[in-house]
Amino acid sequence: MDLEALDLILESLIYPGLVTTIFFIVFTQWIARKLSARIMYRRGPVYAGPAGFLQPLADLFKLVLKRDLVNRYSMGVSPVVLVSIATGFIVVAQLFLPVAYRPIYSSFDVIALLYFLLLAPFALAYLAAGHPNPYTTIGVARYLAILFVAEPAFAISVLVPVLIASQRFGTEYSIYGTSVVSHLLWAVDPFKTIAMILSAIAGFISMFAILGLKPFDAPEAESEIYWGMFTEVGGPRLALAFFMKFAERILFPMIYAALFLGGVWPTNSFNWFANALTVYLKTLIVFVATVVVDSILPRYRPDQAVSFILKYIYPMSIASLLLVIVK
Amino acid sequence: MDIYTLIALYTGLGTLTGLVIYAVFYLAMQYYVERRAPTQRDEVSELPVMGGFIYAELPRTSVTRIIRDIIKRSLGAQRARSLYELSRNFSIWYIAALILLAIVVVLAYLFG
Repeated sequence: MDLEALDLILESLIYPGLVTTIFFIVFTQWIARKLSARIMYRRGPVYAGPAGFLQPLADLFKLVLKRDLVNRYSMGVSPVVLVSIATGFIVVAQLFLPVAYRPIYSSFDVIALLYFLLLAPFALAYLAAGHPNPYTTIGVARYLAILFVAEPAFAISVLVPVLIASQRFGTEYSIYGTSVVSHLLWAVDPFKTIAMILSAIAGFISMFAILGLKPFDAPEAESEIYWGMFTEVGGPRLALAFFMKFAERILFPMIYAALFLGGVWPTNSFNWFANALTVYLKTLIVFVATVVVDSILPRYRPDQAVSFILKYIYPMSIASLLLVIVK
Repeated sequence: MDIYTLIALYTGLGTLTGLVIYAVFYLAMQYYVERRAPTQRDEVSELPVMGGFIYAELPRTSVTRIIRDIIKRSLGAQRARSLYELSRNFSIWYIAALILLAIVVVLAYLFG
């Protein structure tokens, strides 16, 4: 086999791919549980591993080592395969970012990445809808309604730094190229600075809606619709669904950090290890911010969530795009 | 690398990683579980349970109807009606444009 192809497969399966993502999920979920527990005056996980560090891994194995049981109206294996493949696409998306030692990039790759990332939410909706129950149906409908308005807003917000970088630094609409120069994008000119501020705010809030975090977690709403989308999903199916959700909760903050928090700055862009550490650290900062907001905010009703995004996030993201295109 | 190579590469690597996840976290684990514990079935196995009660038939609701209801509540009835009208017209034109595009592609292929 060609050495370059082998290298790419190793990147996908080991670093920064599957194995590293599993370790990073364990680490970030431990932080999330401890932090949200502290905010709510609880202790969080304490038993599995030092300070409960291995609790997320223990939970994963607890679920995957259960027998796969579904009711007679549920779909067979197709939702599991689709969720697994969607998780694969999320894991491999890290190769587009400066955490990879041999990143893959091309002109206009941002469009391809945004399209491929849509597979994950639809796989999740398919998994939930494939296990029918009235609460599941309500959860799926809420999820799709929020996604329908949040995805375009997030995509526009991501496009703003990519467009500025292409106009001024010739990065050819590449997400990796943009992340290398993203610290320079805030000070190109006053209009671009305003565009970056608006798109950073719109991108941050729409990211919460896509990830199903508070105040946009109406699809799950435990006390109201019994966990909505996940009511009928258990055992290995629930484990794979959560694996995908947690991988998304790493990838989206990573994209945000790469585009809006200066990317690889202040490290040297030719030292991949320093770049990767910088991006992981910034990802962790964004992740912690999402956990804090998720722990302290109440939940919107689904119509309030849709209305909020349409009223406030769309004008911000469209204004930022217009500022970049027109000026 | 050009965008076509990148898309092919990303599709291949994403699918490979997904299949590894499926093989390791589903197939292998279920194989292990099946070997350790025999399947137990009774007359209520595979029946859904809601609110502590076993149901033979599930009440059905429509995802589309709930989405329409959410959009209507968030936009107001008047705006929602305009949006549905616009979407209906747009979808007709979209399908027409897709058919036209397919014809153009076929003609371009046939006549070089």
